[in-house]
Amino acid sequence: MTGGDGRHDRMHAYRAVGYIPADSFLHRMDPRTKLLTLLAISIAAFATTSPVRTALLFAFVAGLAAAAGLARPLLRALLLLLPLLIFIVAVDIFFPEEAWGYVYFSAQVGPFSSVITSGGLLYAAAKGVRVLAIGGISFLFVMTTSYTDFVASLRASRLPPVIAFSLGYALKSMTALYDDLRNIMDAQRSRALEFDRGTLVKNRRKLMALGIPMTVSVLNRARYVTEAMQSRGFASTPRPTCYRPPRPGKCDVLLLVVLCIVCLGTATIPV
Amino acid sequence: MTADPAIEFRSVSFRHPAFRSARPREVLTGIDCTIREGERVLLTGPSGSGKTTFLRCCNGLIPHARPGTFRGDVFVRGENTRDHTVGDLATTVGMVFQDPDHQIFSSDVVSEIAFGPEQLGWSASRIDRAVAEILEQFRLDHLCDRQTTELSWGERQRLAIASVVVLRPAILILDEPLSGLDAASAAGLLDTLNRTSGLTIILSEHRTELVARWASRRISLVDGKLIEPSVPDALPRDCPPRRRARAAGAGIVSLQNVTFRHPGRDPPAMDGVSLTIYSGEATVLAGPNGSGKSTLLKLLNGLLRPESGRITVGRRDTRERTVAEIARTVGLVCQHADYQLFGETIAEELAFAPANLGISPDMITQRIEHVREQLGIGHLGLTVSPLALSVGEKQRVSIASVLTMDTPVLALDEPTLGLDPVAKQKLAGLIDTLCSGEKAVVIATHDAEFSAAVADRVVRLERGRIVDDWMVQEERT
Repeated sequence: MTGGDGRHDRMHAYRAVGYIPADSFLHRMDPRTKLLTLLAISIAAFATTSPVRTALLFAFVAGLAAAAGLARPLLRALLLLLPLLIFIVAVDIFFPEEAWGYVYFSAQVGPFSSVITSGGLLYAAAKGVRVLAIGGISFLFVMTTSYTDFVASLRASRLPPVIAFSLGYALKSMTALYDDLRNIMDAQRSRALEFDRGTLVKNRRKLMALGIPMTVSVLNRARYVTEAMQSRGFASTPRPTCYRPPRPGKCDVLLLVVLCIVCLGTATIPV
Repeated sequence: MTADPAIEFRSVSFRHPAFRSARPREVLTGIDCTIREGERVLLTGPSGSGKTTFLRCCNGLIPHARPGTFRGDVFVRGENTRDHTVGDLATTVGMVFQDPDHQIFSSDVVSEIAFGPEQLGWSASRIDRAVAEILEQFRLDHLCDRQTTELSWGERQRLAIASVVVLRPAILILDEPLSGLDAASAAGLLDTLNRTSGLTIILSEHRTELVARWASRRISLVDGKLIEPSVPDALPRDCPPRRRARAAGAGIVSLQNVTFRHPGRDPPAMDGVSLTIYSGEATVLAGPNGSGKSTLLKLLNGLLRPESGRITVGRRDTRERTVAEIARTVGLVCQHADYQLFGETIAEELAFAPANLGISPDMITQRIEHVREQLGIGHLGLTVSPLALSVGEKQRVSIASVLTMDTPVLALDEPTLGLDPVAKQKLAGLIDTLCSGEKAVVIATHDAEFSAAVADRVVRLERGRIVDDWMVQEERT
């Protein structure tokens, strides 16, 4: 076997971070509602160190994904966070900010003192679930919000066009970067470059073979898009029309109500 | 009666900043030119001769958006471009760029078309009407609910032009709009432009056979200087006809009942395809946009693996081998050179692939010299950065960087994109030489004239199936 299947799965995971065209209730929602949900979940997750409370937030995110038919893409996207998740949980297990309860292990490692306690384990678990909750809601936002809808919602909120398009372009770039990466890897593998052997860090040429075309592609695209926008009258009038502005619907109201309940529940649930 | 000037160049010169240029010289030198209302001007010239720079001067991108030294004046309907922003000129001059992917940035078709009118502050009802009209005019109405990423190359090209024409500019600038289009799509596009009455059109194109009859005037740029042939029909053929068809050798690559489906997409991109590629044979893959030509090339060198069926390269199943192993037999030149080039110098770029194969430095040096001579890129030097070259020059360096692998099979995906007639002729000669030396060459192209010049065999694909496969037996004329 070539190992190609594993790589294929990883590439699928990268793809899942981009916008997924569909017609779910999350896709139809006003991007501002989704942005508000993202902010509320992130703030609530940072405000607590309880594993139960962060688990409730993550359950809400997972429920949204399941209801929108995006559970599998979300799972694939969350796999990308696995290295970060392992790192954060490992650091918090051995060097917790909060250490209480039964002591399982205690040692001096050079200048650092490591202690594993029952309280520390719960704290590490909460930090891990926090990463999943915030990462999950962010991925859901990216997967269900098209560049055009996002820009239209920002412009409908009276944000200056330059800022609205810049933020929208950043969102769009997430999908475009994946496509660039795939095409560049194809081009270099056609010239017998093996990305599967060794590590990228050990091989400067592999990094350059990916990094330079990626950088050139990103810069070129930004330049060409700027020129294309200018050539079609961008910034030629102080008040451009907002064609087809997003309009909040029943789903938006319902989501905000559920969001309030979840946030209140998170704040009041006994630890 | 002589029509009024639409665009006037008066002693225009332009030089890119030193850090952006492969060769420190003026891209345009003392251009004087008048293009009158209603003219259809075909702009030709070798790769790197300054065609794109000339076009960017027409709507004010130069001097306003591109750094460099600009001298002289360009007047658009009597207005000096120096005195107006690019946005101000958008209602007078519409600009369509070379690659639709560099221009299209909205998620869906309607939003892309509506972008220009939005920027000009048109009312929503006026935008509605304009969008509906342009969708019908460019035969895009069946795509109005589609995401732009789901469109084929030809559809994206039409959308890019439609989203500019919607503003009803008096002058339309098109930078190689037919590249990557099959002959039927190109003819359809020109027909659509013909139906837009009263437009002054300046069109840059290497595939002159498609537009020779369409243009009312032809101008050429050579080394930044304008040359104006007086007879538009007297265009030379891009490539000479091949002398004879060769007898094919042994089969090197074989596809048996291969089916492939892109993840999440239906129907299959490759549907039950069986095909054998023989040494000493130039096989052209023809067919409309989206017919599966590029997919077939990627299946040949293992970048894609079949869902069902079997592909053997040198009698071994591609599923048992890595892409790097298959690359020793099948060298693939991808469509966009920018995705491939990264070396600090051309020498580094050309040495990259053979070094990956473990070839000795002396042998690599020999191959580089040989390939440079074959492709006519010796004048570019070896120390220049490939990233600073023109589109056509990058394309040739990209092809050269795979040729240095000296593989038994060479697969080329749209190799004539951005190539001028002389470069195409060199490439046709090279393919002839490779096939005479018992190599197999597989070319996916829309360029009918190039195809006629190089093909020993033509395989026509439609919707992922081979609908025709014939050998060129007779002497071509």
